[in-house]
Amino acid sequence: MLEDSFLKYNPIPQPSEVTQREKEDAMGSYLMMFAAFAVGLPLPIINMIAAFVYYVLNSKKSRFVKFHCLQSLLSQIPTTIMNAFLLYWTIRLFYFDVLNDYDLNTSFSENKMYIGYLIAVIIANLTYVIFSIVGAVYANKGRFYYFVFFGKLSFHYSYLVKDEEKNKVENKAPF
Amino acid sequence: MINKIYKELFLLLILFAGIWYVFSLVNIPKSEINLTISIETEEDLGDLLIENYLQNVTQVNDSSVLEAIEKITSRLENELDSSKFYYKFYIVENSDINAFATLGGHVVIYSGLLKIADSPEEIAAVLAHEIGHVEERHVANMLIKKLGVGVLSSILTGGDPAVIYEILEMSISSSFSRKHEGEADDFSLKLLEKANISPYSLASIFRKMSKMNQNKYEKELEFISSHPETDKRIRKSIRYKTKENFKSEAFDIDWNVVKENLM
Repeated sequence: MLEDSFLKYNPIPQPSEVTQREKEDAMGSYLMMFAAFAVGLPLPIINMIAAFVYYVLNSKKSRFVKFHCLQSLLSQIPTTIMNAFLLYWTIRLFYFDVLNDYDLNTSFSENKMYIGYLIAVIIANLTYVIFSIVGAVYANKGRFYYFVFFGKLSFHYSYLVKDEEKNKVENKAPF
Repeated sequence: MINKIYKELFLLLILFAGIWYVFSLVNIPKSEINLTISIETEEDLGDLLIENYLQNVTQVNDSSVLEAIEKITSRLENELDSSKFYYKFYIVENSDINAFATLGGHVVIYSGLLKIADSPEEIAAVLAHEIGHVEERHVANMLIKKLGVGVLSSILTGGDPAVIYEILEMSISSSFSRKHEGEADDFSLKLLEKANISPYSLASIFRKMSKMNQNKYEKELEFISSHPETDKRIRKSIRYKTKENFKSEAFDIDWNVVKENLM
């Protein structure tokens, strides 16, 4: 059992201990979310709902699967929020300028904050995609891949030994 | 440990904000359109356009109205340091609240605008704004951008009535970019100050025009657009700082008589 100064974590499985089914389910969390991500691009909330459903259905299968599902779900939240805000900003800019009968191209290109945000969101989405592909490949090999922040957070919530587990009765060998 | 990992989240947020900030500073190259028509060509085009336009509208001929506009425009024109154009102003019967400038220094004022104005100063503010568009060559720039130099110049050599009509429509209904509107506002505020007309008149007429022009479509979409740009322009003219010795001089015009004669 892994031990932090205050917290205890369950042991992590080695690649040979992870079953083929677990590997596929774990990898599926990244791949399924890609599909949902593509469908949900205009309406970012859709991919979040799909990701959440996948997490609920698979998180009880094993800690390994739960870890990967959770990492995929959590890492999707910031990009979803960013994309949603980008969509809102674009619509607002578009409608505002149409109503004011401005030259649309000039209005968009003159809005430097918007252009800066657009580029930053594109970078964030690309980063998310790259990390997810790597995560899927690792999951398929029965390995762990920890994203910055989200990897550690997912590990914490997947492998933390809960209070009821601490008091669990264990069978012991006679010698 | 759990607290430590939130530091990583903080760093991610800083990184995102940094990328956003850096890319906000980048200048995106725009395809600037060079003005390729001379002042003389613009004047010729303007003459042709206005001649066609005036054939299809009714001009206001009341002497008190014409005299009032003459007083307003001459005071503004006297303060133009080195004007590129010789300005000509026309008042036409139209209930729309509008005024527009077309090529070559021709400015058209709708009677609807005169009716909603409460003072000649407000009309002076609108005209100063339109003069700003002409002086900065926004009209020529906009038309070249939308139609191209070729089409624009083609009307000089046996103009197609359809093209002339299209250009006139664009002059009346198309607005300028936010940047050009801002430039015309700045020009207007300075010109009003020089002509001893209160720059607040611009805010006053903007507010009226914005209220009156708000159509049904805009009201339906009010939740999405609260018109911050118009508000910003109104605020800018209210905050405009005049010189310490600035003193506004009222026009010697009985505005109520002008409005009555328009009815």
